[in-house]
Amino acid sequence: MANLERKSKMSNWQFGMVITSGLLTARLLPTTSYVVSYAEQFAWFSSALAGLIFYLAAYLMIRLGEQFPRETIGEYIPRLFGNKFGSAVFLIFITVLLINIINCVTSLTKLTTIFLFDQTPYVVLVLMLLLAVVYCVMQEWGTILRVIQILVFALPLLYIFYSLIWLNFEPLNLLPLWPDNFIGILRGIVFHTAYYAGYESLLVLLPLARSGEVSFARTVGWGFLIITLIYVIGAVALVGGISAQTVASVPQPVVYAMKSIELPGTFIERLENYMIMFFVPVTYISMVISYFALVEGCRKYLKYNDHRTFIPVFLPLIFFVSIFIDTPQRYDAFRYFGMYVVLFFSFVVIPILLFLVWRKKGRKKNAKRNR
Amino acid sequence: MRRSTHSGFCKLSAKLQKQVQQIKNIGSAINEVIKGLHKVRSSDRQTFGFTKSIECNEQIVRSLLSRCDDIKYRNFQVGKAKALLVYLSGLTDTNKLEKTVIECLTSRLKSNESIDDINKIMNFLIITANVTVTTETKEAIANILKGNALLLIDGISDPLSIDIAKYEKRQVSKSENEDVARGPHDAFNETLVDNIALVRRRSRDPGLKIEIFEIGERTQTSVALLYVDDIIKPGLVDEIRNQLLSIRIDKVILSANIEEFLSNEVWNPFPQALTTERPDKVVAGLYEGRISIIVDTSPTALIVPVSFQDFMQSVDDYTQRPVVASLTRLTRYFAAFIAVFLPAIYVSIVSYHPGMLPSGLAFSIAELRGKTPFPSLLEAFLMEGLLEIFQEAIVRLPQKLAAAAGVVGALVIGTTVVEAALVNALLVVVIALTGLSSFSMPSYSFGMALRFFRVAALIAAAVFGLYGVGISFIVMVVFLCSLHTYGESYLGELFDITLFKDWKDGLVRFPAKFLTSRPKRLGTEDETRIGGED
Repeated sequence: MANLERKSKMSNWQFGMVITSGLLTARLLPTTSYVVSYAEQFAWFSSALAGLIFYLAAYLMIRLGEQFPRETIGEYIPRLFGNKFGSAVFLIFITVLLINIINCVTSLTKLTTIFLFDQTPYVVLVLMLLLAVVYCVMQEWGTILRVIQILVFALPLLYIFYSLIWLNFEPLNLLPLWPDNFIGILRGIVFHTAYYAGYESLLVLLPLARSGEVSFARTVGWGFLIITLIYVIGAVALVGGISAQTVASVPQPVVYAMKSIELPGTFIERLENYMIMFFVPVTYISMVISYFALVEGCRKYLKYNDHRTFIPVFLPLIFFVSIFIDTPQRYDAFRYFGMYVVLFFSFVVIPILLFLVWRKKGRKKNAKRNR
Repeated sequence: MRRSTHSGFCKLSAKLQKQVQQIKNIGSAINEVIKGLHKVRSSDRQTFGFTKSIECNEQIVRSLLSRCDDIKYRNFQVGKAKALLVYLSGLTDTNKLEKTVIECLTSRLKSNESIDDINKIMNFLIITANVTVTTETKEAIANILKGNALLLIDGISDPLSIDIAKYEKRQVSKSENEDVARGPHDAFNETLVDNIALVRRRSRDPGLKIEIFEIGERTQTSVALLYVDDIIKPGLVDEIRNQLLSIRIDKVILSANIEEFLSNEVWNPFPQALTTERPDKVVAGLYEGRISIIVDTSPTALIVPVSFQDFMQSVDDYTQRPVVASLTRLTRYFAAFIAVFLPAIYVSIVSYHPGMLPSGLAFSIAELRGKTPFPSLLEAFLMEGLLEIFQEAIVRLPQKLAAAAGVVGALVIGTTVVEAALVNALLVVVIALTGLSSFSMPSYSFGMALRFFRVAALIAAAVFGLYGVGISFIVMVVFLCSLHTYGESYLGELFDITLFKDWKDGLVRFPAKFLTSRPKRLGTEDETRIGGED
């Protein structure tokens, strides 16, 4: 059976693509108005800074993962820092992934319920999406990787549709050009968690990638650069199209902007429907990556043979939480909770872990030298 | 006096009957002993072994081929010895048998000359090309049933199997199902030897290897495995050879019998082997690093391993200009999408999202739909059902009647059903377009598989609208990526960023001088196609 085995490793470019394709989801749509309410017409600047900062978080995670090649976070953290501390870190890690999945499900299905249907129950849409995600996660990584590589083509198509906002662009909406509200821009960065979260899965996916000539930091960096450019150009188009005041005051500003586009003489109408359709595969990718990272992480942590064992463990939890946060108040509360957990994990837990790992390695080196 | 004579006669006849019975018992006992002796002489795998006695050998052959009236026995003299030819009428060339065997043997040996050297007969007396000594009865019988003649000579225990088979067969003719505008027109027939010759005629490469196996416990059908030794992915030949040899089935009469055993996902509707009746397609496949399997009595060859994109390619792609071929190929992908999702998109837009249509069109559809009593899903199912029935009828009917059935179908679907207000006219257009798209697939079995997903997508669209269409598309992608043929993902390789080189002859077709390497996804030993330039 030489050379006939199923391929389950990914190249470093594939790794970069997987990590960054998981960033853009429907989750960002309701958050846009929060970002613009703080950063106003300088939302694009806030997005650019956020891209840099969140890449820094991803970079630290890559550095941490590279200290332990072939191991996931659930394997090396308990070994280094003991079971209690290790379990706590791992618990935060799976919470981050669960929050990401739930945010994706709820944002996409809410969008679908509001703009595509008026009668189909929200619960049914959640269930259908979750079952489709589970079907993909049931496959081995090689298959999931191939699915992602196909569905990622929805991303440029989505952006082409989104770019039609430029038709309503008015430069006056972007004035003044010089930012005077730096605090607002910085506060806007915090809300970009919904734009950039999802890279945490690399702590599990890193051992599945083959290291090549190009470093992981560079491939993921290229991905972040592309996504940041998409966000920056998107923010300029959105604010230029419907003004910062409008963006800040409507709940779904992107959909609102799409609704206002008219293409006379063409067959295409209700462009927001097309956009939502393209958001389905784009969000699906992020959910699949996070769900796989979640169950694969648990498999490694608890030393099981098959990641599928853990799929039904989390499915009811995701489903019931998604239904529970159906009301706007609960949804907002959950979004804030999720945002702070993700920020805590990325900018507090990971740097501390990396520092401790480096210190431990430094001590070992010193001990060897002394001998 | 008379009475005493009569009683004496009775006693005598009773005695005689007793003795006859005893003789019969002794006879049967002797037969048992003979059988036992044959068993002792024969090898482990067979019941009988040949002896030096021609009568005994004849008895063996006759008993093994009893009640086979098409088996002919021809006795003649070879010098002093008796000889017997056993052959199958209809599968043996009797004229050739007469000239090259009987005439040679009877004329070249004098009537008082004796012969006991089998090699002399084989090398000097018989003038046919292929003569072999057959020591095992099983093999001898199998050779007779293949059309060979079996020559038994008294005093020689090893019979000769003479390859003199000749049978009625269809001549090599034009391809019926894969016709091309430009390019060769000859196609496989039902004879393995002819089919192999058609392939060999296109390649004088000593690296092209052909292994022939007998598969089918009873039919013993010849199955040829073709590959190019120094190109094929290491291990692939062994894998497929083992698969073929492990097939335990009584009969192999179609190449599809073999195809099902090669498939690792038996419930998957998509074909996992490419079938073709074109030898040029087989040769092209072999030089891409694939394996071809040709089954005797079947005019279609199998090509493995294959993936989604291979079913989107046609021989015509390589006879047209690359730009035109690329556009045609892209059109096929679009047609495949339409064949699966167009009815689903129609149902979802009409039922859930009429706002996506221009208002004029939305009003005219609403007007049309107002005349029909059924919901759009039921209408779509009705039309789908009618399409399937007509398709089946046209495929099964003779060609002349099929044309008539097509006209009736078009009239019934196109006019009557709409006039009867069972379905609306737009749906007829949608279903007709869907049908045409599935017919445009180069592989018939692939087009059939697409129908399977069409129904699933239709149901998802009826329940969840465009959201359902999106989810069903994703599920279909996951399903197709999860299928594996010999390590290759069925759909996944199409957009694999590590296989950029394969895109030159995947979604599109680059000019021949740019196709310098074989498909990377097939993992060939020799990736370079010599003669190109990078």
